[in-house]
Amino acid sequence: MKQRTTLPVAGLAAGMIVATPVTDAAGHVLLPAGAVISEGILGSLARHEVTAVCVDIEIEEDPAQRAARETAVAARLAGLFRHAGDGLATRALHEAVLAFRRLAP
Amino acid sequence: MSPLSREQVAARLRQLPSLPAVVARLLDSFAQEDIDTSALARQIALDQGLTARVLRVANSSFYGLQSRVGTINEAVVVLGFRAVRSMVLAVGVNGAFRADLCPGFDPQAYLRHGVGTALAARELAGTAGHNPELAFTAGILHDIGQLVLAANFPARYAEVIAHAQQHDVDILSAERAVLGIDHTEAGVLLAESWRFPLPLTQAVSGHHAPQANDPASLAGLIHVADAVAHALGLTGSPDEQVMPVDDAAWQAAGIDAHVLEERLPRIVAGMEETCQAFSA
Repeated sequence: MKQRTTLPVAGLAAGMIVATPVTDAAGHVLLPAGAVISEGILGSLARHEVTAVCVDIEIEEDPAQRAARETAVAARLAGLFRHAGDGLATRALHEAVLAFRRLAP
Repeated sequence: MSPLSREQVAARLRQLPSLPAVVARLLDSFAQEDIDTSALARQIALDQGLTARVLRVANSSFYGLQSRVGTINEAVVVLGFRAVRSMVLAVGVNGAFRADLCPGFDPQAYLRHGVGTALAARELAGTAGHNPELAFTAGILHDIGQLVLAANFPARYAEVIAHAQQHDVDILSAERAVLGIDHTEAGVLLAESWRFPLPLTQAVSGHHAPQANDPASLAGLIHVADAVAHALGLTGSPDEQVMPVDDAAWQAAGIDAHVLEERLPRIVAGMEETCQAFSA
């Protein structure tokens, strides 16, 4: 599952999602929340003397905990979709949100 | 109790204080070819309350500005006139109604759903071929009819909310059952009275019935964005529900499950700060 954590720039890797806006010393926003770290961005952060970034990363999870969490996510979605029918678009929306919520409940 | 007629709602809307002059002028500017943006920026700046709230939105991380803007003119220079116009409209129109006297109406849930729909609409606007700022404004305002009804007929709208909870039906069905008029009709009366631009009016009227418009219209996009916001359960209400999603509107939005899944993190990431920026 995802966990929010602050990492030094040296600990960042491409593909990580920025959790809170990254600013330089003057308070200018360099990266908004939700930006995806790329190799180019890593170089840019170093040039702007950014030392640490708050990101969402994947962590290992106890299988029983994960099963319980996924059951809770599926139940919440079943509740939200209780009157949504089973049209193609509705099912695609359900699929997208279920996949997203499994990672970030 | 007797149903509400369109005439009753329209009559109540005629008694509303008029929109702040600058908001009305910004609405008019959608139909104008040559717009004097400097003059409009100066006029916005005369309304201090509006200016403060617009600058709060402009400086939220949602726009990711390199440096803070301190005046409307700076905001226009940095973000562009269209973005500032969208912000002023969203702040100005929603701010014209207070639903405090309607028991059961949750202003926070209303705001959160509007912001969630706006962020989803903005995120999907590019692939759907729409202007992202107009899509954002339409998302914020799409349920304005609920606010109109709750603010002007608070006791009757409290019955609507109670009916929806007791019978576990969507708010649209509850409005039709209790009032005989729904929030899309009430919203259109407001949109016509305040001369919203056509795409915004269509989004207000057609977000529950996108088949009445071209599926590729802004109404179709807001229909999809509305469903995305509900599917994310952004209000946190146990009564929240997704209504059936129109296949043609979904296709016109140019997304599939995988593409949408990739965009959901950005929608959710923008929620808290955007809600804070828009709250009174």
